[in-house]
Amino acid sequence: MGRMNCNEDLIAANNITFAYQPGKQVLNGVNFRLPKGSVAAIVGPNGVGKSTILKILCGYLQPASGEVLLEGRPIKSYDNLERSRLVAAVPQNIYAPIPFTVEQVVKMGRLARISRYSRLTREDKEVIARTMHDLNIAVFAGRAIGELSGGERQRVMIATALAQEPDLLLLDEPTSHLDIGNSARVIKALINWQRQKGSSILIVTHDVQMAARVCERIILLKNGNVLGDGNPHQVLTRESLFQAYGHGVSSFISPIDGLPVILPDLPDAEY
Amino acid sequence: MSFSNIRRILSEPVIWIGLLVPVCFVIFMCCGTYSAGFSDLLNPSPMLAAVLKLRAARLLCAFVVGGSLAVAGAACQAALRNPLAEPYILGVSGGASVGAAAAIILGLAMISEFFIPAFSFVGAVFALMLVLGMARCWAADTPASIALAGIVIGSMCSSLLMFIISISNSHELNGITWWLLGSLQPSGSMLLAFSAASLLMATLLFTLLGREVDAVTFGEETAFSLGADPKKLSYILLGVSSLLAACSVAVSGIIGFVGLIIPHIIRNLFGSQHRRLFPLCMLTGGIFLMGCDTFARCIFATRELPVGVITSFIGGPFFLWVLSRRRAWEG
Repeated sequence: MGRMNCNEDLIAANNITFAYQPGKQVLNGVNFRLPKGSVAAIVGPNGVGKSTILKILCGYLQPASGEVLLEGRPIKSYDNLERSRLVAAVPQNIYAPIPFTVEQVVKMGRLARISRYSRLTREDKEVIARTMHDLNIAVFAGRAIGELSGGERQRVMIATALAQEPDLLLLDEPTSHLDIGNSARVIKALINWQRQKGSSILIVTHDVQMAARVCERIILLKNGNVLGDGNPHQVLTRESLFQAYGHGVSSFISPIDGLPVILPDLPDAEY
Repeated sequence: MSFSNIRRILSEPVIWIGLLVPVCFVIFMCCGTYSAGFSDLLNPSPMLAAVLKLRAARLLCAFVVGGSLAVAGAACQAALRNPLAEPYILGVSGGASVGAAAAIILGLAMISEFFIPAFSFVGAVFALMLVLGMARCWAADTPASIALAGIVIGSMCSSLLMFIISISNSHELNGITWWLLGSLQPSGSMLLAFSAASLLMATLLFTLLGREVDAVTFGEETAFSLGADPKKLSYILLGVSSLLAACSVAVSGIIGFVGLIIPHIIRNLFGSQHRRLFPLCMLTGGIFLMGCDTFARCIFATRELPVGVITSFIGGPFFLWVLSRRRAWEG
């Protein structure tokens, strides 16, 4: 009951501040809330604290002040398993020192849903097979993760997060190692999954074109503050992008999908 | 129980490697200067019976020490996300040996034999903390830098050990030298029983935590997202493996590389999942050290080699092989 009264927000960041070293503030009071079933992106210049926000939202880092509410409850109050069934995060850096096979890695996504005394159920196996198929990694299911390329490994880690069946999926640069084709395939698989499940996705990315096309909501960060928050048309304007990145951009509306296209001004283009 | 269940259980490698343990035990019992056939085992002469009793105790001891080192190696590798981690390479065994020598020289070993493993444990944890602290100071938690820090701490421990030996009087020297020789012939059955119990409990605990341990190898963030508690788990893994290493050092002195060789072979043969890896490491590590010790006992008819010589002889090249293979991956 209590949960329903609170609000419809899946996750809310209330006035979050954070510093890795004292005196060097990374986030100065970030506020935003994400309703259920939404797809949003966080964009902004390098070192602005985008990845830090994701780490705080999944509960891995504790904010210096402010709090994160997951379904109206402070995320600190969740135990590990309970939280992992609601939130999955795919970090940017992936370590793979031990030669697990791809299938074994995706199986780890079910960690929070099976008891340590039991084996995988048929439902678990179906979820694993489906996510491996969706992300096009079933073909190398038996290969060791250490032998894969960066892009293949990234897809494996996204599949593992999808196997968690979370309500909120947090992705840090999910397409940074992917070529155009694989990037489009991964995005399509993510969006399909999101529509089927009614889950939410929050992506940290440098790819503003992709963010404009995929997300109905874009949060633009600058110096640890939210500079813009709204739909792509509202946020990805010349003025706010210049303010955020300190560099001129051209912005026009694509005739194909009616969404903004951003091109940075390069020396050649300035005549 | 259905037919498929029985088939599943029989196809489990833990079962048939478990069956291999008594087979190896009997074979190794027969080896030695005073050789015995299978038929002699059932109906031994009084002389042979005495020899067999000694051999059985020694094989049991080798099994416990080998299993402990292999399980500790696998646990360190997972907790530190480092395929080169192993009690000997990490300097943990060195720290444990200094602790044990301190217990002997302070005369505590005369009061109770449990002072040796207790002091070993303190030394092991201390050495481990120093190694991890050093690696962190260099701001590089890379496999090679942790191994390097371990080698530095390990050699400092061995010089500390030599220092302890040089200042000890002849009576204490006797005790340290006997222990340093690192024979697997058990001196006290209580210590061996304690080590065996620790090994069984640790393997059971690690096996139950196996899925979380799998997740931890992918880094703290990923493990946390998957629902494990990476910090707590790393402390459990490193703490319990320090205990295992300390027990085996207290029982038999420093025996290197078992914790490196066995987990690598098991991963290559049966995969990396820790629910299977830990029990298999316990069994295979035990068989491996029983084999090495039997070889050390039998190779020269009149004298025997310390078993550490054999394991290092195999382990050194193995270490280089693992190192070169990692280069190929990373490059």
